Amino acid sequence: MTFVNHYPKAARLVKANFIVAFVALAIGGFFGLIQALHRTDVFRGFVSSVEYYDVLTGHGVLLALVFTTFFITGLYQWGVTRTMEREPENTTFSWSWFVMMVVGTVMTATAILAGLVPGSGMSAAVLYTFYPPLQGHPLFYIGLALLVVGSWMAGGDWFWSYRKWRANNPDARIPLQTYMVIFTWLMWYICSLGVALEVVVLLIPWSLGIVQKIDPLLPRTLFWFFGHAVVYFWLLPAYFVWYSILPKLSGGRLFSDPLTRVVFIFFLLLSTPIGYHHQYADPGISLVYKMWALIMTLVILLPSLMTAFTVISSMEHGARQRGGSGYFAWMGALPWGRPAFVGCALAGIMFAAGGFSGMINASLNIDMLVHNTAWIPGHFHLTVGTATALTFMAITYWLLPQLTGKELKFKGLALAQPYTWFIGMTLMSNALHRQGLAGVPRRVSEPEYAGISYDVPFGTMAEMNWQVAIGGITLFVALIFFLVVVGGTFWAGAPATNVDDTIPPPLSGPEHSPKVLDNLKLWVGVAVALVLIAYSLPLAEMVMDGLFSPGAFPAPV
Amino acid sequence: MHVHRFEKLWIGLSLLLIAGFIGIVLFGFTVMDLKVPGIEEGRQVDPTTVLSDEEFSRPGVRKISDDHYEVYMIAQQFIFRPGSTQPLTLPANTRITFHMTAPDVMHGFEVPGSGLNATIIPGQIATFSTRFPEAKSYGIICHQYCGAAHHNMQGKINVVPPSEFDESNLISQ
Amino acid sequence: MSTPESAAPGKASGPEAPSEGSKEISLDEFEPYGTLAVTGSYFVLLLVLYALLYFVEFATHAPHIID
Ligand code: HEM
Ligand SMILES: [Cu+2]
Ligand SMILES: [Cu+2]
Repeated sequence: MTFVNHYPKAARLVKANFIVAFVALAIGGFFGLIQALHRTDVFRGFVSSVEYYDVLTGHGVLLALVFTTFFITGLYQWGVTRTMEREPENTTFSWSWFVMMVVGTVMTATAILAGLVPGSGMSAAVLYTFYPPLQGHPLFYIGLALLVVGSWMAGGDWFWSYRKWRANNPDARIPLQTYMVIFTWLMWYICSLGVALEVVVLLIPWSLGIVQKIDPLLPRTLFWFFGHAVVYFWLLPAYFVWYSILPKLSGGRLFSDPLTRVVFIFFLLLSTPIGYHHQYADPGISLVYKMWALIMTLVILLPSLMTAFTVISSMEHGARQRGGSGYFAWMGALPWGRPAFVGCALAGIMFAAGGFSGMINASLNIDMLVHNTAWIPGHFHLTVGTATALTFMAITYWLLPQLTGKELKFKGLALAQPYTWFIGMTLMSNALHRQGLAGVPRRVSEPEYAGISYDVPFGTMAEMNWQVAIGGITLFVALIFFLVVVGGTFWAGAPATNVDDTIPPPLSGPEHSPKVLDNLKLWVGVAVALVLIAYSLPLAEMVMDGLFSPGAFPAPV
Repeated sequence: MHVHRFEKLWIGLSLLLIAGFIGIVLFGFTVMDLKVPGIEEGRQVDPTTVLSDEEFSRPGVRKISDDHYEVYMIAQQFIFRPGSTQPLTLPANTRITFHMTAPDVMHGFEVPGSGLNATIIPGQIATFSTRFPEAKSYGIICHQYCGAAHHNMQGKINVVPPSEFDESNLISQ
Repeated sequence: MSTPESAAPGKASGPEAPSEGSKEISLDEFEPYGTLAVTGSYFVLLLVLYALLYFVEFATHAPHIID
């Protein structure tokens, strides 16, 4: 008896979300391979250097927006159902948010992929940041809006379950997994308001031709209101896995439930008001807010550094219970032969490296060295591209038997997958970082210019290009391993007899923490106040001179 | 609340790290003069008429004093003016103030491997000052995706010793 | 170093039950020295790399924005 037997309705919903996520991952990953080969001039036969931007838009949207969102809604549905111990309150409602997200995704993907079909008359090569005045087909924006609204409804579904649970348990502490879901989604509601306003009020009317001109700075600023918090929207679900499941996979227990809650509060409070750090190089944003972003962004290192301690110590607890000892030798006692554990652990190691390059990005003036260079994709393939993506793939190995009642198929391949991904990403990411230091830009199909030679600080251009290309191929191979394991389990997995789905309680439980940590109204209030401090003046200034001015004409791509 | 003493120690170290980073950045900013665009607040312009604006209708280099020149530059699909069709020539070891804007879409301005980096946004004027220490040629790359031929958008800055700087190409005030 | 095979039987006998040869460590007994060693090393690495990148890679590669 496991999840699928107790909660068959929720299990179907989770599986449906996962399937959409994995389809997006497959297509987006293939596009990644094309990019890695094209940029480095190893192979340019898939697309032209102009179509490259359609592919790049597809890669960004399908992976950073679609794969993540669907996996997260699936994962969180699982977490809420299992800790609230209730099926979704209303099946029709649950499927309606799922369908809305799917319809939105199909619309957006159609607009992007049509750009690769000559004569389709439709395209949206605006990249996943879609800065105007570059203009895509209206379907692109409408689809994105539906995806976001669908995700809001998904959150509504979980709050509904939570309220029902609360009515039956007036004095209980919020179970940890539901707590993490709630705080992620509170943050998501706040930050995605920015992008929703941008898309619905400005971009959709403009892409439909209802208004002619657009002021580029306002939508860009609204995008980044959303754009930093969205990285925590990707990351917190990985933390959810690392805090609540990884300790058990390591053979131990979560070290501290109270600090886990504190960490999630930090993210709710600080994720949104720091979006200006993506605009350090922009005119039209005052230095005061750039300085504010510098300080607040470095302060938000604290919850991630605290996470490092809590998660590593929980793993150490597991390792010592398994007989490990020493200062560093205990790591050898961890279950390096189990795919779910290995994926999460390697994802964590890569995140430590990505954390370093993120600290550089955050640091105001040194960002001028790397802003919009290959360093940036080098950085976020370690964070969203591995800490998040590899954790999601790894935890799928652990969740699938619970969701399908089947044994994981091709266990050897599943074990090889995270190691392969790790090797591929090490190659690709270190080279992208170093190219960025030399000034090689990101988001270009041909980054080597006729009249410009790069002064490479470590290594050579050719060597780095090969590492990117071979890394990209290796990553794609790892992705195929993953898809084979998942597909094999779905279609040919043997019925599971003894599904291991329990999670032991934390070493230090919620009873060790003050109740105020569970006071949702209080923390939302503080979060909103911080957002108002950070954004009300600059946004007011940009809006006062007219919503659409100083306006530029659209430039369709 | 139960917090292990090692964890308290780690939180302390983390705060130290954060304070250290902030300190390094502020030290660089103030003492070493490592700055970002937007210190001098640029004005706004109407992107649809900027090409007939006072200064931007005649992009190029102007002299303010013997030790200070300024550059008005237009970035547009898919060239820098000046910079792309003919290189931008500037004197070394001299204060140079850039003013840049775009009439069409966003562009980027990057001198690879250096600290010169700015977003060029229609409607806004990106302003910053710098000094080129060496007489040599520097590249300019548009590093903000701007459309189909974005990967062709590049330029060049020829920095020459101040004594060899030819003032006959300056734009009159 | 325990191999995955040696750990597997313990797993099958139920996740709460400690595996053969392993022990249950309670909150009071647990001193995460290893974690302190790992995070401490990370701390040093961060400081060194950050300083190198800032003062060597960045600060020495003029031109910079000075105003
Ligand atoms: C098969 C594995 C992958 C490969 C080979 C790959 C390769 C690449 C490359 C080479 C770029 C840089 C393109 C450019 O700037 O010109 C890129 C951009 C990007 N990748 Fe990946 N990637 C992979 C997986 C992922 C994953 C799993 C994610 C996130 C979940 C991701 C998210 C992104 C994003 C958001 C961008 C930026 C797009 C933009 O600049 O608009 N990638 N990828
Ligand atoms: Cu950010
Ligand atoms: Cu460009």
